Amino acid sequence: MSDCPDCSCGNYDKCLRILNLILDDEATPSQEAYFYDHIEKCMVCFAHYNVEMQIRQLMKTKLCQKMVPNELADEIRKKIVP
Amino acid sequence: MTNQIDTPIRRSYSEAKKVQVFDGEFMPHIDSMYNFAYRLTFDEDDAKDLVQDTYMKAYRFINSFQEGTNAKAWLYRILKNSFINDYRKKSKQPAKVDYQEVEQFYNSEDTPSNATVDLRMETTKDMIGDEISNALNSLAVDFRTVVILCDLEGFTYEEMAKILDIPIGTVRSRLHRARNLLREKLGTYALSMGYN
Repeated sequence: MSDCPDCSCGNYDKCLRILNLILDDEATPSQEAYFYDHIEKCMVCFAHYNVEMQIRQLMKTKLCQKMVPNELADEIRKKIVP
Repeated sequence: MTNQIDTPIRRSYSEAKKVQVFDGEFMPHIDSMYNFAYRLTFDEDDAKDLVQDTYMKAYRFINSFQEGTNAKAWLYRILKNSFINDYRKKSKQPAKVDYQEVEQFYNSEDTPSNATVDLRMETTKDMIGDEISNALNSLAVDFRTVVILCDLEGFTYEEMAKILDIPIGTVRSRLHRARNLLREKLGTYALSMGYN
């Protein structure tokens, strides 16, 4: 366990673990309450929170989707219903 | 939603019903299956073959599938296993290190966290979408897979554990490590997008 570089609360590793859970919608209500209270006091964890949110947003919006080849669905169907 | 992966029970669909289930429950996922396959193989032909193999296997074992359950997770599991068994061996990518060992190391309570945000780094506002792809593609396949399943496809940790056949704790640690790597590569850009 390491100290937080900003607020020295001693729960830095815990905060990082909870941050991932929160962003993945997997945190418990008490974990959420702890974290949101914490980032009001801790600039480092607040910065982490913002960067992680931005990265997730980038992944969702900037990654190009490959177009499925037109013939792929037909080829598959022909194989199952000759 | 009931998860098909949990309880495989054999049914006996008629031929017409098989096609109906196949068209109604499996084919709607072909876009995301193809994109998942492409992000694993980096090759359009391999991705196409992998998706075909996946759908052939899904059809062959369709009697194990219950209508209305999580078809998408089931297809992802088949695709992932096909990739490991058939495609990873002939992958053009260089051999990777054993990331189970890395995971255990990073999962340790004693491991100091060095995942600090460097706010001093210069911003690079002109980064384009390709660089996001490059950052993702540079991750080892096990890390890339969890990011795709979680961030792009929105699977829960529990679903990912079943798709990948690994404990939830390993899903968490794999995601944690993958995100540290992504943050190293994309943190500066992320800051420039909305936090500077």
